[in-house]
Amino acid sequence: MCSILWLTQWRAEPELIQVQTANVTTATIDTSASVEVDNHLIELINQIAQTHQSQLEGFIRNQYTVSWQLSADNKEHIQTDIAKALAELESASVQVQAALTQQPTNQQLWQLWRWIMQRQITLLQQGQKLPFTHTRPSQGNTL
Amino acid sequence: MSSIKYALLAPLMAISALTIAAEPVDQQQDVAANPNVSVKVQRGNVEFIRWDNNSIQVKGELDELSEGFIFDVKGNTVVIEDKLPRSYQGSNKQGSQLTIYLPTQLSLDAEGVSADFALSQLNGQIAIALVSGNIEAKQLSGSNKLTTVSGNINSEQLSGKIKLETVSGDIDDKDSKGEAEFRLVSGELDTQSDFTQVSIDQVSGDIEATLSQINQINMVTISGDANLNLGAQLSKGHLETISGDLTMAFSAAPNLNFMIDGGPGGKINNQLTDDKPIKQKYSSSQSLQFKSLSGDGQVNINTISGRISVK
Repeated sequence: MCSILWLTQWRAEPELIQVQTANVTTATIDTSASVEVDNHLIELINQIAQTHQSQLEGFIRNQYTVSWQLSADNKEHIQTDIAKALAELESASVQVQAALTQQPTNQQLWQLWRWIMQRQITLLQQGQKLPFTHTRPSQGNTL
Repeated sequence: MSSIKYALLAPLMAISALTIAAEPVDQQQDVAANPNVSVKVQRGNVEFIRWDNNSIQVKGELDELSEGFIFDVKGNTVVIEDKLPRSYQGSNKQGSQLTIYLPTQLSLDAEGVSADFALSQLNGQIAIALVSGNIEAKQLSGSNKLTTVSGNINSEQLSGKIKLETVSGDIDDKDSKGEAEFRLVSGELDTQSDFTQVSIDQVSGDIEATLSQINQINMVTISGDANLNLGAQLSKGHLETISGDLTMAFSAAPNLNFMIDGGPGGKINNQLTDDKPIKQKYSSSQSLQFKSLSGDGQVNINTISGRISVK
């Protein structure tokens, strides 16, 4: 959740950077500044993606695993719907991240990415509240 | 022996069938003006209907697994819930079948899991959140946020500030007006409305939009294609596509300055004016800047590898 909050705070920055980039381009003095900004942003994108991924994994690990995550073959449609939606969000997140890497100053892409990440977390939270039997993972140490 | 066993079991089976049969509900309570109404119904069908009374009525049948019906009114706050066990199995058919009559002006916050919700003729702050259920919304005004994960959203004649979100479901909207925000991941968006401002965030589904009164449009799509039919009064637009194709067709010549960046693999097709895209010297990148009429408004379009057509 921290990465989402942090991203919310950060949202205004791409616009500033875009203005800076535009100034540099119109002045046609030095494109290395904008390349540097892009590299910095790409690094940031990768960091956010990593943090978000580890938070998602932690989220799943630290709860009693909800049955819809374990029962891919279960025919209960809500379970499969949520599992499908999570898979689609994950694939969408990867697509948007790749697009952002190509256009790191694109504010709309940042917003879309932020929404997708937020939706993933909301969906996991919703999943916890769903009326299904919660089961502990069958693997791992038993103390 | 077995016939005796059946004879003993038969009444028991009949009793258990009776106990799981849906329980009817018909309750009405007076409420303050502009109430905050919270509704939780996990499965089944719920219809929200406007009426001209300062009271709320709930009619229909509770879920077959209902553990109790809550209808609490405390001051301005109303809570309606068909309580279900923490875990259960079964289908939407066994769920609640409810009609809820509400005052026109209200704040409504309704959630469900697989339940289908239908709403009409309500005004105020309306928030609906479902998981796999469908939403049908007609003639809502005010501030509406309708969200579902895998269900579809059908909306008609909405007005005010509208937010419609789904992950894998489709959105079908028509005859609405005001300002709209659409967010989808893999679902398809079809809107034919008189919005003045629209924002569309889409990942892989396609977009079909006819917006004849549009002033301002923001759109981002990753791999889905977008087909936009727009009115000539558009004054501001920012459209991004990564690999999806975008077609913008105007009903008449717009008064706009276009800046189109075709990116490394995109193609630009301009049928609005005679201006042709410029190709970069050492790459296949195309870009095009041109004015239609006097170019007072501004539209920016960017793509990485999509085809951009304006006509």
